[in-house]
Amino acid sequence: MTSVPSREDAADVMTARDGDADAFEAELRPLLADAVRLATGMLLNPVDAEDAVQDACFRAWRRRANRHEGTDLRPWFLAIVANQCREALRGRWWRIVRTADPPGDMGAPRSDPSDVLDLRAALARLPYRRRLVIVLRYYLDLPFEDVASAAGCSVDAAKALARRATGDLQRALSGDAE
Amino acid sequence: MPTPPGDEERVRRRVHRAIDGVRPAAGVEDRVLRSTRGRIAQQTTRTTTLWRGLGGALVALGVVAVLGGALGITLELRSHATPASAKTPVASHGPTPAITATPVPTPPAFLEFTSTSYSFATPADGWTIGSACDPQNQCIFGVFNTTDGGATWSHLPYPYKVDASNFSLEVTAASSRDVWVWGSPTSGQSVLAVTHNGGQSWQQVPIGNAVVGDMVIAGGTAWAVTTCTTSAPCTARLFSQPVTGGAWTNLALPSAVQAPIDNNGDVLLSQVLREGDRMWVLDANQHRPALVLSDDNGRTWASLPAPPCVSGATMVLAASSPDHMMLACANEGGWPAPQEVWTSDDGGSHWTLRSREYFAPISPSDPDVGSINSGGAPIRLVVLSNTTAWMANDREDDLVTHDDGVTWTHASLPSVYFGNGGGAEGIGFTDALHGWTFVPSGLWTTSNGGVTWHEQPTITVPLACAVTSSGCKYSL
Repeated sequence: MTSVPSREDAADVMTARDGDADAFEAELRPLLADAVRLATGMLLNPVDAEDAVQDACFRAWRRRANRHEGTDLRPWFLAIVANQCREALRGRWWRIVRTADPPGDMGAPRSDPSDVLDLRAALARLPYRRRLVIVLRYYLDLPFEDVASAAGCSVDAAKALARRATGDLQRALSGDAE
Repeated sequence: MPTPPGDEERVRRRVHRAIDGVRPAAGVEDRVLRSTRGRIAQQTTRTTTLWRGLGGALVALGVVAVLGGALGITLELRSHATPASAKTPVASHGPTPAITATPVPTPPAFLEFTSTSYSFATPADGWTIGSACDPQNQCIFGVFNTTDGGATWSHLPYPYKVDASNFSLEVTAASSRDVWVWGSPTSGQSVLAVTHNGGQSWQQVPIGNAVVGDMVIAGGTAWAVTTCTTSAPCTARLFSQPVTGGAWTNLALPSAVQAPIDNNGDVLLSQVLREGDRMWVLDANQHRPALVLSDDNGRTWASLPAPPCVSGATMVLAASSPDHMMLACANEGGWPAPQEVWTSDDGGSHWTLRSREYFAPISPSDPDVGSINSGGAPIRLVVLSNTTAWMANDREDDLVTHDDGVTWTHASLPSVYFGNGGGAEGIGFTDALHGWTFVPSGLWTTSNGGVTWHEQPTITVPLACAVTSSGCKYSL
């Protein structure tokens, strides 16, 4: 079966020839720190987070033609990272279990205090959207307008999700049943 | 009521403290950009080659179009257009009155379904589970089955709550009636649910704190291995049940494959295989991979040597007989992932390296063996015979070997779907000729051993839309 490239692929070829990859990289680089922070907060695993950002960058490259002219790159890209994290969370076990000791020493085992481990476990138990809002708001320190934009919801909905998620976390940490 | 500022600051401090401890090592931005560049370059190379091939055809088409135009022939390129009937009379009206209407947004009647797992019991009888999400990321979970090889699908009720935006579930089918759904319906929970009447009713199997790591159907029995998490300690066990229903047998797995402490705090990996009367369990956690073998239905186990895969590798195991096995492993931390394929002809007692690539960045660096040429990492392996095996790869096309893993070639599948982006999600065969593979956007099947693959229609989910102030609230 012959693989027929899409129009997107054709655009990739032409723009890549023109050095578009350099421009893309220059645009993306300032956003990577936040992307890594978002993925880390969502996946709570350094290797998964790095993988998710890597995949999100490639997706962003393939979808860059879909971005509406004049829209801010940051929420658009963070939304792609968030979706990538959602897919990773849905993945099967052998994709959840990632390398603990990959080449280049991605990080040594850490022993964290129990309250940190407890909060991490409570974060991991939050439903996807609540966790996303918590990470965007309290880890990336974004204003609710940007949280809403990246999470694909209204500002009011983002605030409500943050409030509920904060309550979930507090209940989980105090051991109360919901 | 909004969260008070003081509380916000406390939450912020605690969240920072919790997440900072699992941040990737320094230099992550450079590594990500380097890898992205490599993937863009590879795609550019692939598509350039294809477009060069198509370029000649397009030039020829252009010549035809120009000549056609000169001859009064119009070429209309329109996909899915309804041809106008030559017999339809054209109504003649007076001037059309101006219409000013406020466009009313119509909620979509269907959502595209994204499968996360497929299982076929026969070439015709298959099951899938997955979810559909609307543009606002509201998601619904669904279970579907097919009796015509994936051409059409029926939605079936599933009684248990699943967080459709955050689940890790698999489906395993033994027939059109006997099906198991297993995994985690939401983070931190676990499920093993079974139907023996084609999805009309389901039962939950009590498995305690454990989560099901893998399931296999063999010899009229369903076998499931459970594994444990560091947050929910337990004893990993082997469950089994006749495929048509009945009591479950529940045996403890040996200590070699009991989950050790994992510093990532993740669910750990187990795989179970059965061929004839022989069964293997692989605990493929990266700290202490272990392989055990049982010839008496899991009552006693013997430890086998696991192939020395690259440190931190993900492993997938498959067998075509009680003696012939294959194991593929790759470290997914980088791209292209360093990877190896090993085989055994004595049930896993001895292993031979068949292929290895992308070990240049590994220290000590090892030379290539055979030819695998895959930038991805294996997520599923199917061994059909002593020579033929199929491998589904994360971020890469499906691969096939016909020489027992020494050389691998890309499957005849569109790389637009399978390679350039997310890669394959899974692969399986019900016999040597009939198989399936899938990506998030759809299912492909073969009936000739993978010589050709056919894309099956996308599953769409009919939705009921209850209009609310914020838009549609969808339900299946």
